[in-house]
Amino acid sequence: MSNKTNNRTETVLNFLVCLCREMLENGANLERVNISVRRICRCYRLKAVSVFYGGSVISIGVTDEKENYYSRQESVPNTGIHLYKLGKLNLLVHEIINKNPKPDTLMDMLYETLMVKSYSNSIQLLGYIVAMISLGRIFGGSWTDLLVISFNTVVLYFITMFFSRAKLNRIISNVVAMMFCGFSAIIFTRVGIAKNISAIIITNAFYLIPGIPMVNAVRNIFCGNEMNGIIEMVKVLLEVITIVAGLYIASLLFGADALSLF
Amino acid sequence: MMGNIELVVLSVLASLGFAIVFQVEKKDLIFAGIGGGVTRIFYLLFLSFIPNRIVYVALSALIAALFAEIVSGIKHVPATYFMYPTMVPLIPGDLFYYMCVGLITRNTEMFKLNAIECTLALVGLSVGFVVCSFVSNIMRIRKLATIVGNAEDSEY
Repeated sequence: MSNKTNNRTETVLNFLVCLCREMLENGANLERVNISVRRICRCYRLKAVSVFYGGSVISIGVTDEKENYYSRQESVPNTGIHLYKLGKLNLLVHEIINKNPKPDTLMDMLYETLMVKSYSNSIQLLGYIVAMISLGRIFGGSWTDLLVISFNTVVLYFITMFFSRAKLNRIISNVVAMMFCGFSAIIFTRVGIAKNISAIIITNAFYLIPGIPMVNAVRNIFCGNEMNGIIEMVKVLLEVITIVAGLYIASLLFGADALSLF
Repeated sequence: MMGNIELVVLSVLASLGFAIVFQVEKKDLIFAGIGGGVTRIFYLLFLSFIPNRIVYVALSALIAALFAEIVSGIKHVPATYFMYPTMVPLIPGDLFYYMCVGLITRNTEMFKLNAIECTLALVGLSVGFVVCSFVSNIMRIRKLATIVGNAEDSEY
Protein backbone atom coordinates (compact mmCIF):
# COMPACT_ATOMS: atom_id res chain seq x y z
CA MET A 1 0.00 0.00 0.00
CA SER A 2 2.83 2.34 0.94
CA ASN A 3 4.70 1.64 -2.31
CA LYS A 4 1.53 2.30 -4.26
CA THR A 5 1.15 5.68 -2.53
CA ASN A 6 4.81 6.50 -3.24
CA ASN A 7 4.38 5.65 -6.92
CA ARG A 8 1.23 7.70 -7.13
CA THR A 9 2.90 10.72 -5.53
CA GLU A 10 5.94 10.40 -7.77
CA THR A 11 3.77 10.10 -10.89
CA VAL A 12 1.87 13.28 -9.96
CA LEU A 13 5.12 15.06 -9.12
CA ASN A 14 6.73 14.03 -12.42
CA PHE A 15 3.69 15.38 -14.22
CA LEU A 16 3.72 18.60 -12.20
CA VAL A 17 7.34 19.38 -12.95
CA CYS A 18 6.76 18.79 -16.70
CA LEU A 19 3.62 20.92 -16.61
CA CYS A 20 5.51 23.76 -14.88
CA ARG A 21 8.35 23.54 -17.39
CA GLU A 22 5.92 23.79 -20.30
CA MET A 23 3.96 26.64 -18.71
CA LEU A 24 7.07 28.69 -17.95
CA GLU A 25 8.63 27.94 -21.33
CA ASN A 26 5.49 29.14 -23.09
CA GLY A 27 5.23 32.42 -21.19
CA ALA A 28 3.30 31.82 -17.95
CA ASN A 29 4.17 33.98 -14.97
CA LEU A 30 5.30 32.31 -11.75
CA GLU A 31 2.17 33.35 -9.88
CA ARG A 32 -0.04 31.36 -12.28
CA VAL A 33 2.30 28.33 -12.14
CA ASN A 34 2.26 28.44 -8.35
CA ILE A 35 -1.56 28.52 -8.22
CA SER A 36 -1.84 25.64 -10.72
CA VAL A 37 0.59 23.45 -8.75
CA ARG A 38 -1.17 24.07 -5.45
CA ARG A 39 -4.62 23.34 -6.89
CA ILE A 40 -3.53 20.11 -8.59
CA CYS A 41 -1.70 19.02 -5.44
CA ARG A 42 -4.87 19.51 -3.43
CA CYS A 43 -6.79 17.32 -5.92
CA TYR A 44 -4.37 14.47 -5.25
CA ARG A 45 -4.18 15.13 -1.51
CA LEU A 46 -0.64 16.41 -1.65
CA LYS A 47 0.69 19.51 0.00
CA ALA A 48 2.84 21.74 -2.22
CA VAL A 49 5.68 22.75 0.06
CA SER A 50 7.51 24.97 -2.38
CA VAL A 51 7.70 26.01 -5.99
CA PHE A 52 10.93 27.78 -6.87
CA TYR A 53 11.97 29.06 -10.27
CA GLY A 54 15.60 30.10 -10.62
CA GLY A 55 15.65 31.57 -14.11
CA SER A 56 16.39 28.31 -15.91
CA VAL A 57 15.48 25.63 -13.36
CA ILE A 58 12.13 24.88 -11.71
CA SER A 59 12.07 23.04 -8.41
CA ILE A 60 8.95 21.60 -6.74
CA GLY A 61 8.72 20.05 -3.30
CA VAL A 62 5.59 18.26 -1.97
CA THR A 63 4.58 16.15 1.00
CA ASP A 64 2.00 13.35 0.92
CA GLU A 65 -0.62 12.46 3.53
CA LYS A 66 2.01 10.68 5.65
CA GLU A 67 4.25 13.74 5.55
CA ASN A 68 6.83 12.01 3.29
CA TYR A 69 8.76 14.61 1.31
CA TYR A 70 9.37 14.41 -2.44
CA SER A 71 11.04 16.88 -4.75
CA ARG A 72 11.80 17.28 -8.44
CA GLN A 73 13.88 19.69 -10.49
CA GLU A 74 13.72 20.35 -14.19
CA SER A 75 15.52 22.77 -16.46
CA VAL A 76 13.38 25.23 -18.40
CA PRO A 77 14.67 25.90 -21.92
CA ASN A 78 14.28 29.35 -23.41
CA THR A 79 12.58 28.53 -26.71
CA GLY A 80 10.06 31.33 -27.01
CA ILE A 81 6.54 32.24 -25.99
CA HIS A 82 3.66 30.17 -27.40
CA LEU A 83 0.45 31.68 -26.06
CA TYR A 84 -1.92 29.24 -27.77
CA LYS A 85 -0.12 26.34 -26.07
CA LEU A 86 -0.28 28.24 -22.78
CA GLY A 87 -4.05 28.62 -23.19
CA LYS A 88 -4.37 24.87 -23.78
CA LEU A 89 -2.21 24.12 -20.71
CA ASN A 90 -4.47 26.35 -18.65
CA LEU A 91 -7.51 24.39 -19.84
CA LEU A 92 -5.70 21.16 -18.95
CA VAL A 93 -5.17 22.42 -15.39
CA HIS A 94 -8.91 23.18 -15.12
CA GLU A 95 -9.80 19.76 -16.53
CA ILE A 96 -7.57 18.02 -13.97
CA ILE A 97 -9.02 20.03 -11.10
CA ASN A 98 -12.61 19.31 -12.20
CA LYS A 99 -12.30 15.66 -13.27
CA ASN A 100 -9.45 14.46 -11.06
CA PRO A 101 -8.18 11.83 -13.56
CA LYS A 102 -5.99 8.86 -12.61
CA PRO A 103 -2.34 9.88 -12.08
CA ASP A 104 -1.17 7.39 -14.74
CA THR A 105 -3.10 9.26 -17.42
CA LEU A 106 -1.74 12.72 -16.59
CA MET A 107 1.39 12.54 -18.74
CA ASP A 108 -0.60 11.38 -21.79
CA MET A 109 -3.01 14.26 -21.26
CA LEU A 110 -0.08 16.67 -21.18
CA TYR A 111 1.48 15.31 -24.38
CA GLU A 112 -1.89 15.48 -26.11
CA THR A 113 -2.29 19.09 -25.03
CA LEU A 114 1.11 20.03 -26.39
CA MET A 115 0.17 18.80 -29.88
CA VAL A 116 -1.05 22.17 -31.14
CA LYS A 117 -0.60 23.90 -34.45
CA SER A 118 1.98 26.67 -34.72
CA TYR A 119 2.52 29.35 -37.33
CA SER A 120 5.08 28.42 -39.95
CA ASN A 121 8.49 30.11 -39.91
CA SER A 122 7.57 32.34 -42.85
CA ILE A 123 4.38 33.58 -41.13
CA GLN A 124 6.32 34.23 -37.92
CA LEU A 125 8.92 36.16 -39.88
CA LEU A 126 6.13 38.19 -41.48
CA GLY A 127 4.79 38.94 -37.98
CA TYR A 128 8.22 40.15 -36.90
CA ILE A 129 8.57 42.36 -39.97
CA VAL A 130 5.12 43.95 -39.44
CA ALA A 131 5.92 44.59 -35.76
CA MET A 132 9.40 45.97 -36.47
CA ILE A 133 8.24 48.26 -39.29
CA SER A 134 5.50 49.66 -37.03
CA LEU A 135 7.93 50.24 -34.16
CA GLY A 136 10.49 51.74 -36.57
CA ARG A 137 7.91 54.27 -37.71
CA ILE A 138 6.95 55.02 -34.07
CA PHE A 139 10.65 55.71 -33.33
CA GLY A 140 10.76 58.15 -36.25
CA GLY A 141 12.24 56.10 -39.10
CA SER A 142 11.75 57.20 -42.73
CA TRP A 143 10.51 54.79 -45.42
CA THR A 144 14.07 53.93 -46.48
CA ASP A 145 14.97 53.35 -42.82
CA LEU A 146 12.05 50.93 -42.63
CA LEU A 147 13.47 49.01 -45.59
CA VAL A 148 16.78 48.64 -43.76
CA ILE A 149 14.91 47.62 -40.57
CA SER A 150 13.05 44.92 -42.55
CA PHE A 151 16.30 43.63 -44.04
CA ASN A 152 17.93 43.53 -40.59
CA THR A 153 14.87 41.78 -39.12
CA VAL A 154 15.13 38.99 -41.69
CA VAL A 155 18.84 38.50 -40.96
CA LEU A 156 18.25 38.72 -37.18
CA TYR A 157 15.54 36.08 -37.46
CA PHE A 158 17.89 33.64 -39.15
CA ILE A 159 20.81 34.43 -36.82
CA THR A 160 18.69 33.79 -33.70
CA MET A 161 17.16 30.67 -35.27
CA PHE A 162 20.62 29.31 -36.11
CA PHE A 163 21.96 29.92 -32.60
CA SER A 164 18.81 28.49 -31.03
CA ARG A 165 19.08 25.29 -33.11
CA ALA A 166 22.79 25.03 -32.34
CA LYS A 167 21.76 25.37 -28.65
CA LEU A 168 24.28 28.15 -28.14
CA ASN A 169 24.00 30.66 -25.35
CA ARG A 170 21.71 33.65 -25.88
CA ILE A 171 24.59 35.93 -24.85
CA ILE A 172 26.65 34.95 -27.92
CA SER A 173 23.65 35.15 -30.21
CA ASN A 174 22.80 38.65 -28.96
CA VAL A 175 26.35 39.94 -29.47
CA VAL A 176 26.54 38.55 -33.03
CA ALA A 177 23.03 39.71 -33.96
CA MET A 178 23.52 43.24 -32.68
CA MET A 179 26.99 43.48 -34.20
CA PHE A 180 25.43 42.70 -37.57
CA CYS A 181 22.72 45.31 -37.02
CA GLY A 182 25.37 47.89 -36.16
CA PHE A 183 27.36 47.10 -39.32
CA SER A 184 24.27 47.16 -41.49
CA ALA A 185 22.93 50.43 -40.04
CA ILE A 186 26.32 52.17 -40.44
CA ILE A 187 26.86 50.93 -44.02
CA PHE A 188 23.34 51.81 -45.20
CA THR A 189 23.60 55.25 -43.60
CA ARG A 190 27.04 55.93 -45.12
CA VAL A 191 25.88 55.03 -48.63
CA GLY A 192 22.91 57.36 -48.15
CA ILE A 193 20.08 54.82 -48.23
CA ALA A 194 19.13 55.18 -44.55
CA LYS A 195 18.87 58.48 -42.69
CA ASN A 196 17.99 57.86 -39.05
CA ILE A 197 20.60 55.46 -37.65
CA SER A 198 19.19 55.65 -34.09
CA ALA A 199 15.69 54.59 -35.22
CA ILE A 200 17.14 51.57 -37.04
CA ILE A 201 19.26 50.45 -34.12
CA ILE A 202 16.64 50.99 -31.40
CA THR A 203 14.00 49.15 -33.44
CA ASN A 204 16.26 46.23 -34.18
CA ALA A 205 17.40 46.17 -30.55
CA PHE A 206 13.69 45.87 -29.66
CA TYR A 207 13.74 42.52 -31.48
CA LEU A 208 16.29 41.26 -28.96
CA ILE A 209 15.40 43.20 -25.80
CA PRO A 210 13.55 40.80 -23.46
CA GLY A 211 10.63 43.15 -22.81
CA ILE A 212 8.20 40.61 -21.37
CA PRO A 213 10.73 38.96 -19.01
CA MET A 214 11.63 42.49 -17.90
CA VAL A 215 8.03 43.28 -16.93
CA ASN A 216 7.55 39.81 -15.40
CA ALA A 217 10.68 40.28 -13.29
CA VAL A 218 9.40 43.52 -11.77
CA ARG A 219 5.95 41.96 -11.36
CA ASN A 220 7.45 39.01 -9.46
CA ILE A 221 9.29 41.39 -7.14
CA PHE A 222 5.98 43.17 -6.42
CA CYS A 223 4.03 39.94 -5.97
CA GLY A 224 6.24 38.54 -3.23
CA ASN A 225 8.50 36.33 -5.41
CA GLU A 226 11.45 38.64 -4.79
CA MET A 227 14.23 36.08 -5.33
CA ASN A 228 12.80 34.95 -8.66
CA GLY A 229 12.22 38.53 -9.70
CA ILE A 230 15.80 39.53 -8.88
CA ILE A 231 17.26 36.52 -10.73
CA GLU A 232 15.10 37.28 -13.77
CA MET A 233 16.10 40.93 -13.64
CA VAL A 234 19.81 40.06 -13.56
CA LYS A 235 19.25 37.75 -16.56
CA VAL A 236 17.47 40.52 -18.45
CA LEU A 237 20.24 42.98 -17.59
CA LEU A 238 22.89 40.55 -18.86
CA GLU A 239 21.01 40.08 -22.12
CA VAL A 240 20.66 43.82 -22.68
CA ILE A 241 24.34 44.40 -21.89
CA THR A 242 25.28 41.83 -24.54
CA ILE A 243 23.04 43.64 -27.05
CA VAL A 244 24.84 46.90 -26.34
CA ALA A 245 28.22 45.13 -26.38
CA GLY A 246 27.51 43.82 -29.92
CA LEU A 247 26.70 47.32 -31.07
CA TYR A 248 29.76 48.71 -29.32
CA ILE A 249 32.02 46.27 -31.22
CA ALA A 250 30.47 47.44 -34.51
CA SER A 251 31.12 51.08 -33.60
CA LEU A 252 34.74 50.31 -32.65
CA LEU A 253 35.39 48.73 -36.05
CA PHE A 254 33.96 51.71 -37.93
CA GLY A 255 35.33 54.37 -35.58
CA ALA A 256 33.77 55.87 -32.49
CA ASP A 257 31.82 58.48 -34.44
CA ALA A 258 30.21 55.89 -36.73
CA LEU A 259 27.15 55.75 -34.53
CA SER A 260 25.64 58.96 -33.29
CA LEU A 261 24.92 57.10 -30.06
CA PHE A 262 28.55 56.83 -29.02
CA MET B 1 -3.90 64.88 -34.32
CA MET B 2 -2.79 63.10 -37.50
CA GLY B 3 0.37 62.01 -35.69
CA ASN B 4 -1.69 60.46 -32.91
CA ILE B 5 -3.91 58.53 -35.34
CA GLU B 6 -0.79 57.23 -37.06
CA LEU B 7 0.62 56.19 -33.68
CA VAL B 8 -2.55 54.28 -32.82
CA VAL B 9 -2.59 52.47 -36.19
CA LEU B 10 1.09 51.61 -35.83
CA SER B 11 0.49 50.29 -32.30
CA VAL B 12 -2.32 48.07 -33.63
CA LEU B 13 0.07 46.69 -36.24
CA ALA B 14 2.92 46.22 -33.73
CA SER B 15 0.65 44.29 -31.35
CA LEU B 16 -0.72 42.25 -34.25
CA GLY B 17 2.81 41.40 -35.40
CA PHE B 18 3.89 40.36 -31.92
CA ALA B 19 0.67 38.36 -31.49
CA ILE B 20 1.72 36.28 -34.51
CA VAL B 21 5.20 35.89 -33.07
CA PHE B 22 3.71 34.82 -29.71
CA GLN B 23 1.51 32.27 -31.52
CA VAL B 24 -1.89 33.76 -30.73
CA GLU B 25 -4.58 31.84 -32.60
CA LYS B 26 -5.65 33.24 -35.99
CA LYS B 27 -9.20 34.12 -34.90
CA ASP B 28 -7.92 36.06 -31.89
CA LEU B 29 -5.30 38.16 -33.71
CA ILE B 30 -7.69 41.02 -34.31
CA PHE B 31 -8.41 41.35 -30.56
CA ALA B 32 -4.69 41.43 -29.81
CA GLY B 33 -4.27 44.23 -32.36
CA ILE B 34 -7.22 46.19 -30.99
CA GLY B 35 -5.70 45.80 -27.51
CA GLY B 36 -2.51 47.50 -28.68
CA GLY B 37 -4.54 50.35 -30.19
CA VAL B 38 -6.67 50.82 -27.08
CA THR B 39 -3.54 50.87 -24.92
CA ARG B 40 -1.93 53.53 -27.13
CA ILE B 41 -5.10 55.70 -27.14
CA PHE B 42 -5.26 55.74 -23.34
CA TYR B 43 -1.46 56.21 -23.09
CA LEU B 44 -1.70 59.33 -25.28
CA LEU B 45 -4.75 60.52 -23.36
CA PHE B 46 -3.11 60.14 -19.93
CA LEU B 47 0.17 61.57 -21.24
CA SER B 48 -1.59 64.77 -22.28
CA PHE B 49 -2.74 65.70 -18.77
CA ILE B 50 -0.62 63.69 -16.32
CA PRO B 51 3.01 64.83 -16.08
CA ASN B 52 4.24 61.97 -13.88
CA ARG B 53 5.53 58.98 -15.90
CA ILE B 54 4.82 56.36 -13.23
CA VAL B 55 1.17 57.47 -13.00
CA TYR B 56 0.35 57.61 -16.71
CA VAL B 57 2.15 54.34 -17.45
CA ALA B 58 0.40 52.62 -14.51
CA LEU B 59 -3.00 53.88 -15.67
CA SER B 60 -2.31 52.76 -19.26
CA ALA B 61 -1.15 49.35 -18.01
CA LEU B 62 -4.32 49.10 -15.94
CA ILE B 63 -6.41 49.74 -19.06
CA ALA B 64 -4.33 47.21 -21.05
CA ALA B 65 -4.75 44.57 -18.34
CA LEU B 66 -8.45 45.33 -18.01
CA PHE B 67 -8.90 44.91 -21.76
CA ALA B 68 -6.98 41.61 -21.65
CA GLU B 69 -9.03 40.36 -18.69
CA ILE B 70 -12.37 41.22 -20.33
CA VAL B 71 -11.53 39.73 -23.74
CA SER B 72 -9.91 36.64 -22.22
CA GLY B 73 -13.02 36.17 -20.05
CA ILE B 74 -15.21 36.24 -23.17
CA LYS B 75 -12.86 33.95 -25.09
CA HIS B 76 -12.19 31.58 -22.12
CA VAL B 77 -8.40 31.87 -22.28
CA PRO B 78 -5.90 33.01 -19.61
CA ALA B 79 -5.44 36.79 -19.39
CA THR B 80 -1.77 36.43 -20.40
CA TYR B 81 -2.98 35.36 -23.83
CA PHE B 82 -4.02 38.94 -24.68
CA MET B 83 -1.90 40.72 -22.08
CA TYR B 84 1.48 40.21 -23.80
CA PRO B 85 0.58 41.57 -27.25
CA THR B 86 -1.47 44.37 -25.67
CA MET B 87 1.39 45.63 -23.51
CA VAL B 88 3.83 45.96 -26.45
CA PRO B 89 3.24 49.73 -26.87
CA LEU B 90 4.16 50.26 -23.19
CA ILE B 91 7.47 48.36 -23.03
CA PRO B 92 10.21 50.91 -22.38
CA GLY B 93 12.70 49.14 -24.64
CA ASP B 94 14.29 52.37 -25.86
CA LEU B 95 14.80 53.75 -22.34
CA PHE B 96 16.30 50.47 -21.15
CA TYR B 97 18.58 50.38 -24.14
CA TYR B 98 19.81 53.98 -23.70
CA MET B 99 20.37 53.29 -20.02
CA CYS B 100 22.76 50.45 -20.89
CA VAL B 101 24.45 52.53 -23.59
CA GLY B 102 25.06 55.22 -20.98
CA LEU B 103 26.49 52.61 -18.61
CA ILE B 104 28.91 51.11 -21.15
CA THR B 105 30.07 54.43 -22.57
CA ARG B 106 30.38 55.87 -19.05
CA ASN B 107 27.99 58.65 -19.90
CA THR B 108 26.73 59.18 -16.35
CA GLU B 109 24.14 61.78 -17.30
CA MET B 110 22.60 59.60 -20.01
CA PHE B 111 22.64 56.56 -17.72
CA LYS B 112 21.05 58.37 -14.77
CA LEU B 113 18.30 60.04 -16.80
CA ASN B 114 17.27 56.88 -18.65
CA ALA B 115 17.63 54.60 -15.61
CA ILE B 116 15.21 56.74 -13.61
CA GLU B 117 12.70 56.99 -16.47
CA CYS B 118 12.97 53.28 -17.27
CA THR B 119 12.53 52.25 -13.63
CA LEU B 120 9.49 54.51 -13.30
CA ALA B 121 7.97 53.05 -16.47
CA LEU B 122 8.61 49.45 -15.35
CA VAL B 123 7.24 50.06 -11.87
CA GLY B 124 4.21 51.81 -13.36
CA LEU B 125 3.61 48.93 -15.77
CA SER B 126 3.88 46.33 -13.05
CA VAL B 127 1.66 48.25 -10.65
CA GLY B 128 -1.02 48.55 -13.34
CA PHE B 129 -0.93 44.83 -14.11
CA VAL B 130 -0.72 43.74 -10.48
CA VAL B 131 -3.67 45.92 -9.43
CA CYS B 132 -5.81 44.57 -12.26
CA SER B 133 -4.89 40.92 -11.72
CA PHE B 134 -5.35 41.31 -7.94
CA VAL B 135 -8.86 42.69 -8.36
CA SER B 136 -9.84 40.12 -10.99
CA ASN B 137 -8.42 37.27 -8.87
CA ILE B 138 -10.53 38.36 -5.91
CA MET B 139 -13.61 38.53 -8.16
CA ARG B 140 -12.83 35.07 -9.59
CA ILE B 141 -12.28 33.53 -6.14
CA ARG B 142 -15.56 34.97 -4.86
CA LYS B 143 -17.38 33.65 -7.93
CA LEU B 144 -15.77 30.23 -7.50
CA ALA B 145 -16.54 30.17 -3.78
CA THR B 146 -20.19 31.01 -4.49
CA ILE B 147 -20.50 28.26 -7.11
CA VAL B 148 -18.61 25.55 -5.25
CA GLY B 149 -19.48 26.76 -1.80
CA ASN B 150 -15.94 26.08 -0.79
CA ALA B 151 -14.44 28.85 1.29
CA GLU B 152 -11.07 27.08 1.30
CA ASP B 153 -10.34 28.42 -2.16
CA SER B 154 -9.94 31.89 -0.75
CA GLU B 155 -6.43 31.02 0.41
CA TYR B 156 -5.35 31.19 -3.24
